[in-house]
Parts: sequence; C-alpha cells; structure tokens
Amino acid sequence: MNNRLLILLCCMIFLLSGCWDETDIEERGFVIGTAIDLAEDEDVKDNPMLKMTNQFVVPAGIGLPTGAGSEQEAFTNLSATGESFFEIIRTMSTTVGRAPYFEHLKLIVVSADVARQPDLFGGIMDLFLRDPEMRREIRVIISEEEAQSILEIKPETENLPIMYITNVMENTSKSAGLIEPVRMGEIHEYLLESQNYVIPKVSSSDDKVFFNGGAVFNGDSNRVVGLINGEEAAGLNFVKGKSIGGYIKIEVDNKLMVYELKKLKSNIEINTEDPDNITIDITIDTEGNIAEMFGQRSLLDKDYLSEIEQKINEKIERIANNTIQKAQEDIKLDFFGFSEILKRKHYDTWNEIKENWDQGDNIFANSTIKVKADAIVRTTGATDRVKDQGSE
Amino acid sequence: MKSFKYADEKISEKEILIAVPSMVIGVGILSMPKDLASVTIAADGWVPLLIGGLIVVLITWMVAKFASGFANQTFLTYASSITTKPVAIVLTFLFAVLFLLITAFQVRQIADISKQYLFDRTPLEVISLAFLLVVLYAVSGSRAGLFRLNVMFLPIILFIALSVFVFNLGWFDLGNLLPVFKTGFNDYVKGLNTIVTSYLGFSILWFYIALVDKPEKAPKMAALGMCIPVVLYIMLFILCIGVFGREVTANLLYPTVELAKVVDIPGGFLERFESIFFVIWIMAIFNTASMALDVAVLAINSIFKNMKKVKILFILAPVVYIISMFPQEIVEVNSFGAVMSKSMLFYSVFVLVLLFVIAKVRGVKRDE
Repeated sequence: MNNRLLILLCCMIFLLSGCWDETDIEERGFVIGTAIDLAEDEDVKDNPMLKMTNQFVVPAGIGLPTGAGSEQEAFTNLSATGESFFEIIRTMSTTVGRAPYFEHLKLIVVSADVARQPDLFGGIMDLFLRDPEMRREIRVIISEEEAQSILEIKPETENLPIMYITNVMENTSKSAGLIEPVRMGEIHEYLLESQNYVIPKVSSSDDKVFFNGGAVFNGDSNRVVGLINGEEAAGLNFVKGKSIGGYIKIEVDNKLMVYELKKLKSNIEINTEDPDNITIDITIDTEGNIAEMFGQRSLLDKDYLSEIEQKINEKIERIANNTIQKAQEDIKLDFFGFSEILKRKHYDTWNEIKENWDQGDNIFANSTIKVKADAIVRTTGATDRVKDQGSE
Repeated sequence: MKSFKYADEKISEKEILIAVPSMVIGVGILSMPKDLASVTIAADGWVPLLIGGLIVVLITWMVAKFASGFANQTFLTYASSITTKPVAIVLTFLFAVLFLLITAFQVRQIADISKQYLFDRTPLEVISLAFLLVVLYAVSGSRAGLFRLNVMFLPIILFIALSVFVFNLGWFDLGNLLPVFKTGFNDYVKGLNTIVTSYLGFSILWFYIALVDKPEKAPKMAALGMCIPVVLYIMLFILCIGVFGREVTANLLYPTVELAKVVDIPGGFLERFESIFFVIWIMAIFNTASMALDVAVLAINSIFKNMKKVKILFILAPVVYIISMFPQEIVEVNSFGAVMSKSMLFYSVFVLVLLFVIAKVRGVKRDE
C-alpha cells in the first residue's frame, strides 16, 4: 500500500511541477516607453501607416550607481511600422530576441501629426486600453516634433530617457504653466464621454525635454484642434483650480516681484436661467507668499500688501481671461470642463443644449464668462527687507 | 486514504451568518458595476442595489424562517410532508440541477477571468479542470469542514475588498457621482434586473437550515449575513463610479478587477496589487462553487439515500465540467449566467410560495 502511494506521489511530481505560462525574466523585453509616429510611406495602404518605437531596458547597461563598469547603454529603441500596433508588436517579437513586455510601460509619446489625423487617436489608444497587460497609469504626452526623437535624448542625470521624462513630468507642481500629466485611465474617460481635453505637450532640444502648454483635443473627433502655450496653460490651470505650487510674476512700483502659489482653489458657478446667454462665474482663490522681490519697500504694511494682492489678482484674471478668450474665439471649444459641470449640476438644461454647446450654435463661445481672483499673501518669507531703502 | 471525520455534521447559526455572504460573494461582483452603470446615470445605480438588496434580504429571511420551522428535517422530508413525495423529489431534483449550473457557471467565469489576467497561454480547459478538482476535493470531505473554510476565508475576502476601497480613495472624484436621481423609473427596473446575478445564493438555506443546531436563530443570522454583500456591493459600485466615471465603468468588462489594478500603494513596494486581489478573490469563488456543488450533492443524496456521497460526486463532476465548457464565447457565458440566475431566483420564490400556500391549505404543522 505504502509503495503504491509512493509511486503515485512520484508520478505527481512530473504532473505538478510544470508551469504553462512560464516565461523567464531573461526572455522578457521590458518596454518602458513607446513613441507613436506616422510612417513616411503612408499612402501605400488605405489605413494610415504607423510607426511604433519601443524603448527597451537593457539591464546590463543600468549598472551600479557609481557609474563604474559597463559602457553599454541602458536602453535600446526599436521601431517598426505597420497598420496596427498588435501587428507591429508581433513583428517586433520576431526580430528581437526578447518579446516586448508592456506591464512596466510608463509613458506613451504621440506625435502631434498622428493626433491631428481625424479619428485616429482613439484607435491608437485602443490597444493600450484593451490589452490586459497594460496598466491604466500609463502617462500620455503629445510631441510636436517626431515622437521617436523624444525617446532618443540622452539625459545627463538618468540612465533611461523615460525615467528622466517622467521625473520631469512629476515636477509639474513647480510651475503654473505645466499641465498635469494625463493617465491612460483618464483618456479612456475622455474618449468615451466626448468631452474636450488637453494633453501636455513636450519638446526637446540638447538632450533635454521641455513641457510647455498642451494640445487641445476635440472630444468628438478625438483629434488635436489647437495648441495652447505655457501661459494659456496657466490660465487653464487657474480656471480648473489645478495648479498647486506655481508662481506668478508681477510688477509693483516697476519692480519685479514673485508670488509663490501655495494653494489654489477655483469655484465655478454656471447660471443657466437664460439658455441663450449662459453666464459662468469663476472665482479663483489663491494663497501664497512673496518668494522674491527686486524692490526695497517694507512688506509689513497692510496697505502695501493689499496693493500687491490687487496686482496679483489682476495678473491672474488677465492670464485666465486670455485663455478663455482663446477658447471662445480661436479654438471655439470648451476645454475647461464647463460641460461636465453643466452635466452634473444642471442636467436638464444640459440635455437641451448639449448639441449646441461648443458645436452647432456654439453657446459656449457666446456665453459670458467672468473671472474674479482673490489672492492672499500669507507671509513675506524669512525676512522683510533685504536691501536698503535709502537709495531713492 | 482515510478521510478525517469531524465529531458531528451540525453547524452553528453563526456559520450560517458566514455561509450566506460566502455563497453570494463570487464572480458576480467582478462585472456587476458594468451592467448596472450601463443602464443608470452617474451613481444612481446604488438605488436598485439597495432596493434589490432589501428584497433579497427579506426573501432570505422568509426562506430561512420557513425552513427553520422544520427542525432537523431535510428539504425532501418536509417538502414531501407538505406536498407529496413525487412532487418533492421533482422539486429537490430541480434544485440540484440549478446548483450544478451555478457551479459550472462559477468554474467557467473564474477560468475566463484568470485566463485573461493571469494565465495567458494556459488553455481554458486546464484552468477550469484544476479549479474544479480543488472544489471536488473540498466537497468530498466533511461538510462541517467546508463551513469552517468559509469562516476562515470570509474575513480575508472582506479585508481585501476593504483595502481595494481604501487604496482607491486617492483617485476618487466626487464630481463623478453627480447628477443624482436623474435615472428614469424604467431604467431602475432594468438595473434591478441586472443585479439579480450578483445577489444569488440564498437558496442554499433550503438545504443548510436542516443542519443547523438551533434553527430558531437561523433566520435572523441568514438575513444579517445577506446584508454583508449588500453593503459591500454598494460600496464597490460607488467606488467604481467615483474612480472611473460612469462611462468607463459601463465599458470595462471587469471594473472591480480594474479597480485592483489601479491601486498604487505609495512607496512602490507593492506595485502589482491585483495579483493579491486575484488570489483572495479566487478563494471567494472557491467558496461559492464548492458550496453550490455541496448543496447539489446534498439534494441528490436525499433522493438516493443509499448512494455514497463520493460516488455522487464522481458522477456529477464530469457533468459540471462539460456544462462549464459548453458556452463558446463571453456573450454566451454572460447570457448563460443571466438565465441561470434568474431561474434560480424565480424558482426559489416559486417554491417558497408553493410550499407556504399548500402548508397553510393542508394545515401542515411547523414546529415554531
């Protein structure tokens, strides 16, 4: 009896030791970044030809923190073209020894040329949402130049370009003109909700990347319809109450002064009583301190502080109005998310006007938008005055 | 091999409290937010969830109350004393068939989901077989042991559900919950219709109440146990809407799994939270599948008294396996689940009404 059991157990070892989905970690090609471009020979087929560049990590190149040892680079970029990304990835697996593995994908760079094509952006994002291997935290950015070139920069501080770019992106809180990184999950929302959206825009020079402004997407056709620059992006952030920790430069008595934003809150009230003339009241409350000044006057003076606050308010209102003007007159699209507020707070009105909000009659472009800023200077830094007052 | 025998096959009323939610929480919750969100506006889906939940709690209480009136009698015994023996056999047999279908559905669903997220290349047949074998092993043992497993697993399952909730609060956008109460009445009814699958499972009480030590306490415990999934479902549904928004929730196949994927524990030391979530959730589905199969065995055993439990299992197992492999694609699996769960619900209510009315008419005594 015992012998038979022993034989049975021995047989089970063979049956139980296998793993169907076994992949050695050495056989996996970890992709951490992807760039999407239009391929040059696009007129060959009916569907646009796309070029996908994947950045693979080369573990041997990462080496030790001291930097000693390996001369090898920490990454390789591989490109392939095709009509569908799945096809491209499969082609890539046959040419590279390691099959691309996307669970660690961090960033997708889409070239603006691709994003300008009608109805293509949604299709591009499809694979990255459909494939269970992909994560919803992948960040998406738009590049004005060839997206592939963004992956090819050689940063000084990091081994991997993608890590460098994501680190830079995390610093969006340092400047008001940077748009919050957009996650794949949010893109899924935007694609489904036909709401307009803005994706951060990147450019590169001298092995550095710069985030500046964003690309405005039309929610219906999901294509780029306009670009906004850094200052306009700041206005967008003020309206949405999203920029935490930017700064504002103002001039008081012809001297430069820098106001550091510590807290930003915006409150948007939409009055829909008259559907032909919708009024939107935006109140932007900020809190912060004086970070730097070139003047000499003492700040510990209530009147002077209110004057400074007044200047800050004017500046914020000007920046915000500037962006609103661009949205209403130039791009003619509501990318502030007012439609979302209408839908949430004025559902019945929204159902009536949604066809004509920023298309058709374009109620949005004709609505009255008022911005009011309310800035508070909490402290003046560690010192009151740094320079002598007497020179004047 | 000798199987270990527990001292008695009696269960306490607390184990009923645990068994009901263990049975109800299964594959349903993984896809429920999708179906519900696709017919309601914003977060309004909690209304049908709550109303449906209250109805189910009430039915649970009634079934338990009715069954506990016949202390220590099996379903077949009291059903035959109320109606007649042949009718009772048919009723029992139909229950057995329905529970077999539930087992098959759970096996198929877990195989589908784990193939999608975990085992990309393992054939579906192998995943289901492996899972079914484990379920068979559990069912062939002691029934009291199964209940003890429930008691062990349920706190872990609730804990992992709670951690999904807590770790997702960072992504939660309150604005996604607006507007409120804009769903039309018909859509609420449609919503109720979609959540039936998720609230399935109280029917085990028909058979398990007979095993309870002190049946008079069972109805309250069963109803209390049923409240656990109701609260859990409402929490997870609102979380899904808050994190993904209604549109995305309505389009993700398994929103609850995606919730686990979104979890990003600060510090980066645990990046793949969904793998833990899966392990735990497979335990939940294991509980459901093994109890459903156990009830089916119990029902058939009460018809064929001389047959050994293991023998019945050996006959049923291939049947379950074949049924679970029958639907071809995901749409068929879903409609199979919908038809199966609706028939289970209506059949349970039908049996309750039938037995209650006939017992009243014929004056069959229930020992209160």
